[in-house]
Amino acid sequence: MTTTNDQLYINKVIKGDVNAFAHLVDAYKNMVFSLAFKMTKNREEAEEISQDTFIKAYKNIHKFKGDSKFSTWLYRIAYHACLDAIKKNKNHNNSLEINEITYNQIASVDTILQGIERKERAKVINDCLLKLPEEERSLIWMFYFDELSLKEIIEVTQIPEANLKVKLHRARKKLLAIVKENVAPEIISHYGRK
Amino acid sequence: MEENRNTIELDAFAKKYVKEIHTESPSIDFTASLMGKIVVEHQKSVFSSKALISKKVWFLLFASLIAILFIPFKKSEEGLLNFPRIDFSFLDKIQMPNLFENFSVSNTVIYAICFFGLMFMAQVVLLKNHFNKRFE
Repeated sequence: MTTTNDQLYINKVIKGDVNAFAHLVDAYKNMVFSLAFKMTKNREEAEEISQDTFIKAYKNIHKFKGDSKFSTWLYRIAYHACLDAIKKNKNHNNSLEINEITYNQIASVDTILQGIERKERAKVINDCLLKLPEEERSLIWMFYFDELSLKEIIEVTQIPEANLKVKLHRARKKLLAIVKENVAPEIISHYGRK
Repeated sequence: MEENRNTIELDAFAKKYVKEIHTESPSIDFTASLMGKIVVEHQKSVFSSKALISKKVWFLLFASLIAILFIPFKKSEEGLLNFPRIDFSFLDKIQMPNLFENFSVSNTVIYAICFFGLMFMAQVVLLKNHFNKRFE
């Protein structure tokens, strides 16, 4: 399942070619770092976690059997490293009061977002995503940004399928609620300035 | 039906906007500094893989220990191999006061210690499997 290129470099690393690992690092550093940054919200911590992830992957590369994609295997190591770091650092704010949202608000939030410039919109959504609790934030990131399948997310997080679907649905609803809460006043102030 | 339609809409909403977020990149020297650490790890693994006492030497040591312990008690005169006799009578000449003369341990305590040891060993195996699975 792993791409041929990845497997080629993995085989080289197993045979003792340390430099071949740099190709794998270059290919996946943004993916690992983005996940770590989204989960910890701290650049330095994310960098440290990313380094630890790759070191762990290097030490255990001989255990990679190729049943899944190399990226999923790496994702799993990174996800657990992030959870460990979050557990250690209790300062992460996880409590967030979110008002219930009705589905008919999707269209109105969508209209507001369409009125914002793309670059600005990406920043707004990113800020809203960071306001979600860690677990839900990481699930949204895996499913919608990195486009991992449900099967792959189960492999990474070890969350049972039924439970995962519920969590993902709840995370989507929360994200919509946060976007609505954050976007509405911004638009009002934006038009107010004009 | 309505719930299903809403879920689809919500899914489409998330799909549309989350994908617009930019990926984050680590610092420019990320790969270089990481590879520096990995080279150190590689060198460490090269050195540590050579055990100080090999399995062969451990086996020989164990075998000779068994031989030293059991051969002196062998009663028969004729054996397959005629080892030189070792006189262990000097052990009787060393008179050590028995410190544990009045020390007795109840059966319950012995069972508890054995059970604890058993559970400890079981945990070692379970934990090892658990951590190994993380990297499979």
